[in-house]
Amino acid sequence: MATALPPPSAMEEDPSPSDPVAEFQEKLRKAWDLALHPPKIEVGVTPADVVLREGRMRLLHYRCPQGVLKEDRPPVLCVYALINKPYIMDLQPGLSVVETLLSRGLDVFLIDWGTPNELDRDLTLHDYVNGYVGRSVEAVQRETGEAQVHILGYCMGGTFSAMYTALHPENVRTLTLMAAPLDFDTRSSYLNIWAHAPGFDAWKIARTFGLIPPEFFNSAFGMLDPLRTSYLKFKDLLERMDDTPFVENFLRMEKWTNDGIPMAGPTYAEFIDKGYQKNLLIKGEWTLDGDKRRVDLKAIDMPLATIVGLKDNLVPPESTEHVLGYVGSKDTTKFQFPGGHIGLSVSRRAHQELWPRYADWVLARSRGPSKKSAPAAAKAPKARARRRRSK
Amino acid sequence: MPRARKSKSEPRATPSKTVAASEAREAPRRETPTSADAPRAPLEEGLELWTRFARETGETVTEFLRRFGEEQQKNYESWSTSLADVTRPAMRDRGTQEVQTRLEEWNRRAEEIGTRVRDAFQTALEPQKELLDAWVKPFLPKEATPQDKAREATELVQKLYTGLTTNLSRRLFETLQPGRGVEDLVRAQEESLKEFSDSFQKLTQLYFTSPAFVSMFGKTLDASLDLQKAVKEGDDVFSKITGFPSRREITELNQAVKDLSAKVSRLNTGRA
Repeated sequence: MATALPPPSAMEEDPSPSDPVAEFQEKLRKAWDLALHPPKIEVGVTPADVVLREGRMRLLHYRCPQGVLKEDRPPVLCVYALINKPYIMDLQPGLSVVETLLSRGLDVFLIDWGTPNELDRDLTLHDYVNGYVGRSVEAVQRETGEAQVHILGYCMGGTFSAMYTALHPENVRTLTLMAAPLDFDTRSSYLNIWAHAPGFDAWKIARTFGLIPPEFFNSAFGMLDPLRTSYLKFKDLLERMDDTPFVENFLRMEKWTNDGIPMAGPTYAEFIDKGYQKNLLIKGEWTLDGDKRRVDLKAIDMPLATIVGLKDNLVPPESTEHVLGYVGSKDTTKFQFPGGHIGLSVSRRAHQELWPRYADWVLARSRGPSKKSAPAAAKAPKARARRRRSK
Repeated sequence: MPRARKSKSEPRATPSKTVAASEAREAPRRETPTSADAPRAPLEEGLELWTRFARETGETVTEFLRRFGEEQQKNYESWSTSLADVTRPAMRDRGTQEVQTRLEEWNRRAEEIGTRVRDAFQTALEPQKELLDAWVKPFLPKEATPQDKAREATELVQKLYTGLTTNLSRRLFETLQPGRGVEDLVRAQEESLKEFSDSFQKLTQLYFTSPAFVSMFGKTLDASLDLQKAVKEGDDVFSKITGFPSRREITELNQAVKDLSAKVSRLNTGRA
């Protein structure tokens, strides 16, 4: 659009082909065409095998890319949130956390929660943390022969990861909490403020819906930046209609944004009630499985990293970083990135600057003696052989 | 309203509660409450206000709005004529002064319209006092008087109107003056949008974090949950009466069957 017009005389004599009005009309035509005939877009294309399946949950083990040595790759388990789908960590080649970590020599696993249905409506946080995450860690141990895994928890998955690690520190080599809500006592995000609204009863919401529909979450997220959600992003799209990679990326992001999954009512209510409303994790008073297991953050004593987006309006940086004051770890690192909650995983800059540094951080903490689990190590070669046969 | 009124009755400078209250004091005391003493329904109160507005301005609200629309149309025509003149290359040099004069006239009239819109809203919104109070509360200190609230609300409306149309158009219009190119226009558009976006962010920040909004949010959510619950219970009652399974039960059964099929299929694959 920022094209200078030719002088008036030229305009009168010969209408220039770079007429901004004509350009704008052409962009509108393309936008209309895009809306009517959207191209087929693919997400989550990095090759992977399913190594564990339980209910709707699947554990994906990504294949080692060509040119990377298969042996001695430290296993990293990615634990994503229960909001939308985890392919945001493998959105497209070139902008994939999974791909970047694989190319830097890590052995990557990702929990795909699937789409919860009516059979999952009674799941609690205990089921997720000690159940699904726990069994995923066991599967990683079996697959790799390593007794300890590196855990990377994103958003709500970060909260799950912190809880799991506090309860089972012996299984975790390093813990990384990425844009994870942990200290909920902040007023930097609307969500933290709205959770304290009089009449906001998370348990009533859970009872009413059973499974909390994705639209419920989307309506709240849309209010975080209403102008961008409803107008600015479409304006940007219109202006860059000729930029094919931008348009494709836009469509992938739109697909992800609108590809929400429901959440089990009790899980949601527990998370809001004990987290957003009572901030029990930082206080050391969060219990799982009824009152049987208290989550003590002091038990987290392995190397710990936080990754935050400085412009994150969903989980403010302090909500993640404050945890460093409450854990037992001596080796702590802060990764700060000048982006938002989602930009951490899909921005080009993050893949140039952030993820290589994170991979180096993990590699540096993978050398040296590891606590070997004899049964796990014994099972590992069998698992590998079985997988090779199945391929 | 800043125009001559054809009032059929005695115009009142402030047709407010003060007058009504003094009339009430002078009236003989009544032992039993009448319908006039009973609390008024918001609709009745609103109708009375609209009637009073019509009496004072000498015209009905419909007439006022129609006339307002006509004036808007005239303004638009004036603006589009000026715009056509400015953008026509042949007119660029010799029409400068004329266009400038038209622009100033248009700006003057747009501001006048803005003032009148504010007045009209002030009168029209008065019946919706509660809504208005809830809306402006976040912007005001606790001790704000009803007059402060009303003024703030109407000024907000005016600001939105002038902000969205007058100021934006003026800035774009100025970039269309002779000697300035499309780049200036694009820049002005970008700047206006950024300014609007920043203001909007500040406004939402202020509004969404205010205790009044948070309180309204919680109560609205709670009420909508009650509604959802009632709808769901209605569905359950229907299924009990008719013996048909409820939508939820059907979904659960379908899902269970689907899961079972997938499991069987996996087992068969494993055996094979």
